[in-house]
Amino acid sequence: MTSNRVYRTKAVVLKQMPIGETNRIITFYTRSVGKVAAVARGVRRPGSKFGGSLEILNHVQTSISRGRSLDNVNECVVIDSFKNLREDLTAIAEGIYIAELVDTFGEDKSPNTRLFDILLETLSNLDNLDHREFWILWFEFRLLHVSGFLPEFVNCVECRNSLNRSDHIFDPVAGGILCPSCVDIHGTEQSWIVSVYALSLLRFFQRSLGVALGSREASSYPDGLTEVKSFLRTYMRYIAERDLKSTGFLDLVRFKES
Amino acid sequence: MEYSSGAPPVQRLIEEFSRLPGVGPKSAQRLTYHLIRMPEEQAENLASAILSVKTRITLCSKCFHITESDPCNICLDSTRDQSKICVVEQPLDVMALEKTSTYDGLYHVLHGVISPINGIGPDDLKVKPLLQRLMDSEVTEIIMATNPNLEGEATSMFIHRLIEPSGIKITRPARGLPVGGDLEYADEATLGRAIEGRQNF
Repeated sequence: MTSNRVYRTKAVVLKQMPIGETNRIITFYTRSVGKVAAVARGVRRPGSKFGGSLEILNHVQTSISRGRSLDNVNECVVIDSFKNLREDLTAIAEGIYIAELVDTFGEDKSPNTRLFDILLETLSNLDNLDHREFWILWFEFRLLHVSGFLPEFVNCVECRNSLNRSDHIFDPVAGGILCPSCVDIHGTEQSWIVSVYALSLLRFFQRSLGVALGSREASSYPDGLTEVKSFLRTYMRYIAERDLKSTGFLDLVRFKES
Repeated sequence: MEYSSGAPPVQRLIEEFSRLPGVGPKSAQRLTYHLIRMPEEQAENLASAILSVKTRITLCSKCFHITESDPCNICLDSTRDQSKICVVEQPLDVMALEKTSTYDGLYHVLHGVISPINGIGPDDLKVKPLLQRLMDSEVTEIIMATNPNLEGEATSMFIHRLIEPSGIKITRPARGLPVGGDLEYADEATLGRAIEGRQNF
């Protein structure tokens, strides 16, 4: 973080909260400063200089000045508003879910450029409207990776022995898969079974970290998607120590769509 | 206690004011000391106005607008177009639309907006009563006048998904440049919609 009073940065708008007559507190995930909450004054007034630039999920270039308690948004210009995503209810729910994850895992004023980059990449993938469930899982997996919470899927997390190709026990307290002989010693009540299909997708994700996946990979993994989805959600709930609020609406619109 | 200098009733009033939206501790203190200096009669008027809002105001059982009598005056007005319902987020939106004097249909107040990040879903809004209302009436057009932001749009899209199979016409107010605004400050989404929805001079 620079010591200047005003900083300019690229950012994604995560959420908004009305405050006072015409202001809003905007939570950004910025590339250079991490998570920032700043007041946008007059933004609720028609004809405000901000226009629609501070809409949730917009990728923006913004200028923010430091305040005593909260920072202030000076200027905001839209780089990408992900127009296709905004016209699809399920994609909106998915985008908001991603924003909530970043709001939960992103740290205040502590930059994590890798997190910013995967957030932006995922919003672009959602905007293309194809294979969205896969892109969300890929985002969740990398979110765990860049925030330092990625569990071990290849070897037993305790004895480091390699695991054979079968269903295995995952223990969130141990932070990975336990081999059959370690389960008895280190397994806790919070552990659960992960199928060989889900493990294969999770290991594929682990091997692909640092690789740019395309729609070919996204379309070739129908097996295990549902289980990996519930695996990642349960594990993230364990880390966040609470339910994510946006999952209820996401599940509702996905159900109504199917 | 932060403001230990005040007498207990003063502190209590400061605390009560601090609960109001947009009122911080300093403003609450200022309002309280203003009330202390206020003539007693004026203070009583204020207190009775607050109480009467709480005791006499209710929600209209049809449109959920705030009203003194149920159904509200708008729902009772037979000169209004009964075939149109304008769906809005808050009672204040009804007042804003009424000021324009250009809309003569009925309203339906949702009392909020779907806000997944705050855990507010359709069941927390007056969505089910709207669907019920559509079944029992001869409405031919629904105007989705939620705020033109992501959560407002999501709410409209969700209700649209529910109503679409009924064949009722669903419209929404035009998006475009605000009167008195500057073109250069308009974002790409607003400007794009404004150009798409352009009209003959």
